[in-house]
Amino acid sequence: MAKSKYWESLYVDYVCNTIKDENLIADFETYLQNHPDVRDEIDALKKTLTTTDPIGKINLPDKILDDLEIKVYKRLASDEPSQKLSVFPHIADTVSARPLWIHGGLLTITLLVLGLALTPFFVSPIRSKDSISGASTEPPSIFLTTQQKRMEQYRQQEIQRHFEEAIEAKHLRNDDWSTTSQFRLLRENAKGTGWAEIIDQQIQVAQASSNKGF
Amino acid sequence: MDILEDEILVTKLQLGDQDAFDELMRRYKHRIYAYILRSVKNYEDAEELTIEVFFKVYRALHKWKPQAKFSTWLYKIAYNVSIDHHRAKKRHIIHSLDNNLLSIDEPTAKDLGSDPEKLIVEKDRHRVINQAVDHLSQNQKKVFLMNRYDGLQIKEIAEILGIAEGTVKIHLHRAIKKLRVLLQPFRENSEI
Repeated sequence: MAKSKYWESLYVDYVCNTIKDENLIADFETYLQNHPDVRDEIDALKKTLTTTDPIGKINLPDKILDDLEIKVYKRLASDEPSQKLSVFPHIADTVSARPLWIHGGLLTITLLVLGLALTPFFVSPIRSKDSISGASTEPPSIFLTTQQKRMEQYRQQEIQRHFEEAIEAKHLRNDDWSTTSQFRLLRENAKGTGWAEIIDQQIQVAQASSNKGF
Repeated sequence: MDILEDEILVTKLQLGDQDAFDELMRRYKHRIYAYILRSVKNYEDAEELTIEVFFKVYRALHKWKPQAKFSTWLYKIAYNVSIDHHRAKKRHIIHSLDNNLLSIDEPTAKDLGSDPEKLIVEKDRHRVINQAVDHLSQNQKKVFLMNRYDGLQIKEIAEILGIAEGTVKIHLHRAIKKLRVLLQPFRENSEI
């Protein structure tokens, strides 16, 4: 009886092909040869899975989840004020466990390091607008949290995608008025980034072309 | 980045490498979305809950220990998020939403080379099998879907649901047996 319970516990593993040990598979198959009723049951279970398995595939729309990352970062950023250090709370725990004078010392050191790190950002401009890829720059503030930085990066990627779509649409429809209006809308979204200037150039080109037409 | 194991990516993230989190999201977003979509049967809710899952993952990464597989832990969070969602829905909605449910698994004309006859047959087949799956008990259905459609191993399912591996096997065995019985008449009529 105990032996048959043992074999029974392997039914699912065998049907689902999850037994790794080849000796065990061979033993189980010998058992099946000696027990035709069990073999029939196993065959029927396998057949059932052959019927049900193919319908498990979900057909997701092509563009779905394209911008999931930015939405996750937005969600994280919106939660930021109350949870500054909660990603790695052990850091917070370590800090809060120290006596007051250590806190003061740590604060001074942190401020000094921060001051040194900040200097280059206040002295030199950080943006380059030479090319399309170079247009994607971070805003000058380095006070942004990691999530906010990542959001900004995704926002600029999105602007780039919309910009490329607008350029493509411009060639397809050959309608300067619609192109200008699309670029204007895009410029609004791109304010504060290197993209604004590039889009401005495109607006001027479209306007010049429109004037020629009149 | 692809060759790195999930667990290494988590460690990298814990050390401050934000790209590692992006890579984890890229790896799992479709699977988690599909898993949740099967549970909530609504595209918008599924997207919202997928965001919630990754939000919770990020917030709780310090709790993750290398002895647990990252994907198992991720699915456990997704499982809890969809349970919470169902509870919240039960509280707020009295009448059935069945009419608003999407038929998420059905094939589209695109899949079948725009052959209308084939499409109808396939849709019927999907409907019959989905109805049979819906007739399983809650536990049988959960285990069956996780194993057959989400590709989770018995051990992983046991960890996610917090039950013994033996229990998972029993649920799965009973689920397949029940499906066999439920689908038998359709098989005899060559409908599936």
